[in-house]
Amino acid sequence: MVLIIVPLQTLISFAIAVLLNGKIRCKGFFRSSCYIPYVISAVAVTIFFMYFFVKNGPVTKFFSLLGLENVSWFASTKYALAFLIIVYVWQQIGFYMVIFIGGLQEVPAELYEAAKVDGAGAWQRLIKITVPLIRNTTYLVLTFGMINAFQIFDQIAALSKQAPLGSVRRYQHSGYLSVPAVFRLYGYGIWKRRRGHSVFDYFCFIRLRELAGRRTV
Amino acid sequence: MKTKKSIAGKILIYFFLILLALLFLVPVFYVMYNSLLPKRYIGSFVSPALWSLDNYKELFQSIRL
Repeated sequence: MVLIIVPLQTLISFAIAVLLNGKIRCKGFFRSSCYIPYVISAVAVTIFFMYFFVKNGPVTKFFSLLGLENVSWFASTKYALAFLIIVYVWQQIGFYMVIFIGGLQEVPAELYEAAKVDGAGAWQRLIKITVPLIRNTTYLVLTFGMINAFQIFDQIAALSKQAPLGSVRRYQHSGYLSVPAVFRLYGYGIWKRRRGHSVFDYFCFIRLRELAGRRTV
Repeated sequence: MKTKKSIAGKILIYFFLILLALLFLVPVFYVMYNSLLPKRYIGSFVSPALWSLDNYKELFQSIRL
């Protein structure tokens, strides 16, 4: 799931950030509207998305026109994970978009002007100037994205009563359900460390830092 | 020709941005709208005459702050 979520949210948030960094009107409104979902609680977001993805719900009806089954996505073994990814990405994009905008604003405008004079098109300017110059921001987004995606919990907790056969349950969550109630309050972190995935997060972070360091020096 | 192209590009960008804003805002406003409706009307579109703050009243009465 992390392998789908991280590239997806990075690409979409980068594209939105590039669009919203240009000369457009109502920039503040568009930026705020993208950021609003991030402010809302993950559980609330999951619950209200369930209204959209329920059988005969507005989104389910739309997708059924495209040939998908008209079923409650969160209650289907086939679509539950897709539902989870959509909800998660929808909520997180705003945050990464803000980070990308910060990175884009650090790119000197003179470089774009010089490239324009040299006859570079918009796509060339994006690939040859923007992407290399915001490399560090991209590493940051990838790292945060990965850590947050590994820690996904609230959405699954809100969903798991409806989802069948553990289709959306990930190992954090199944572990959370299996430990006694007393440990649910205090033991989650300990349990998580025992499973070793925090170590994996840390390892990934170190590798990315190394990679970023090597490229920038 | 070039200006026509740039105008078309701008229209396309604004169209995409408006779609994007709708994608992010509609779910939020839909939920807020539903919170104003009596339970039997949830999920349907009804006239503003039926809107009320009863759900909020019920919420604040049921929880102890």
